[in-house]
Amino acid sequence: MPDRKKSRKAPSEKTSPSTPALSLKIETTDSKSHNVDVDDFFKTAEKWLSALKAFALEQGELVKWEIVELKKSSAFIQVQPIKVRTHKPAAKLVKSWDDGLRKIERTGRPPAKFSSTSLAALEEFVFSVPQNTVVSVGNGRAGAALPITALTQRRVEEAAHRRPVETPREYVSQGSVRGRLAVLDSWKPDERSFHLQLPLAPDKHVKCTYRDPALVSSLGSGFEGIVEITGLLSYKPDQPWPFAADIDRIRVLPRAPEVNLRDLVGLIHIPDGLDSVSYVRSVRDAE
Amino acid sequence: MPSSKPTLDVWDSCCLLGVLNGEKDKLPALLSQTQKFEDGTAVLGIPSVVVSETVTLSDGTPAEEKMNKFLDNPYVVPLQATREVATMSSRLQYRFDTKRLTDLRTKAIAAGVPKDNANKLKRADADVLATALVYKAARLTTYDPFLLFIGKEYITPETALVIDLPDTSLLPFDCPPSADGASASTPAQPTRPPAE
Repeated sequence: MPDRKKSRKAPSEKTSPSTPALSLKIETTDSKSHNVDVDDFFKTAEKWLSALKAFALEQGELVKWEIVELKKSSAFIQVQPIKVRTHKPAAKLVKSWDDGLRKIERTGRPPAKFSSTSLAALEEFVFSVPQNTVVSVGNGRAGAALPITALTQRRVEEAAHRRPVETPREYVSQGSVRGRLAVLDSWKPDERSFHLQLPLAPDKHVKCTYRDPALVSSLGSGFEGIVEITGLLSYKPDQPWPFAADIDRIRVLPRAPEVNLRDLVGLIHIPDGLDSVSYVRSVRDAE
Repeated sequence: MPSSKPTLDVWDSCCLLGVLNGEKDKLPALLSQTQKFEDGTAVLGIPSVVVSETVTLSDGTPAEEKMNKFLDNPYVVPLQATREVATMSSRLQYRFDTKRLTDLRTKAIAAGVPKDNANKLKRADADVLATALVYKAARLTTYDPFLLFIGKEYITPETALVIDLPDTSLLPFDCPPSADGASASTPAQPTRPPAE
């Protein structure tokens, strides 16, 4: 890791100022070997590209990264994000990344466009700098390369710590869910609640509360059977089943099937003699 | 309800409507699924959009009452279109669109999907697929060629969700051909309406 003042100036990268591109350069400080170790190059480049991709994804920009320059002598690579839809370079993305990186370097504060995910990927990249090397990142303009130093690492770390990980929030939605009425917690008027065991997640019970005392009779007849509850269902993010419910309706379902699949055979006739696949396709395509 | 967790088999509308419409090429395989639902090893997941597309045809007919009673079966689990499902559906529609996945159409046509349906995943198809993914189904049963193609090419390798025609392993070996000559052990081939 070089000292900022001692770090060598990056050689000018001959890219047109109008070309939105980002570069990575690795130089060795080992006086015995002028060539960069190939593992060092690929590992660092991979982390750098991961950081760029994480940032692009957070901006909602669908791009592919193309190599626009690759040099052997100084282990230099320059890439350009190309919008998948228009095949044009994503100039704003390049500017946002470069401005953001320089702001972090100056202030240690997270720029608005850098989410915790982007900062985590950036942190991983700046801390992957191999020993006895100078790693610089550029923006396609000559003389604008920014060496990754201990200061850079500290600033990126500060910025990452200042932006807490965004955790998706729980949400509430009106709906219904079925399950086995398993445990009645309380019959007290103010603490009416029971647990519903879900057929597809038997280990995760839904804690159900209700206010209407008239629902008690449904609980009695539905105990140990299957009921359908309707009300405000609380979900944790990324979970398909609710963890709690504030119920305003309970429907006790039959304990054994009253109508089976085979009882449905031939009950309807799809219009125009269509078969089910053609009918469904025609309905969905008409939307 | 058994204490062990059953697997979730989600059905697309064409399966339920195939039964209701009495389609002889589909009936043996579809009805044979009842066995695993009745013995508790699997439950039948019906996405909201499938309930809607099916009930539209049965409402106001003598089929209405039986259909409602069928949906109350202990082995039937209506699957709500939660916020997670809606978000996933939107992402799937965005992804499976020829505008973004440029080789989608070519690959789909090569796999036998009719040309007029090989461009993108439509909303209702995406809702069904998203429901199966969000509720972590083991299988999505459908006859739709585009969903079958997307399953084989992308979804199953990425998520392990099987998207396929009905499982025929439950059919008896000596199952006789159905009345219209279709073999019970040969699942119906996916069909699409003719191109407009």
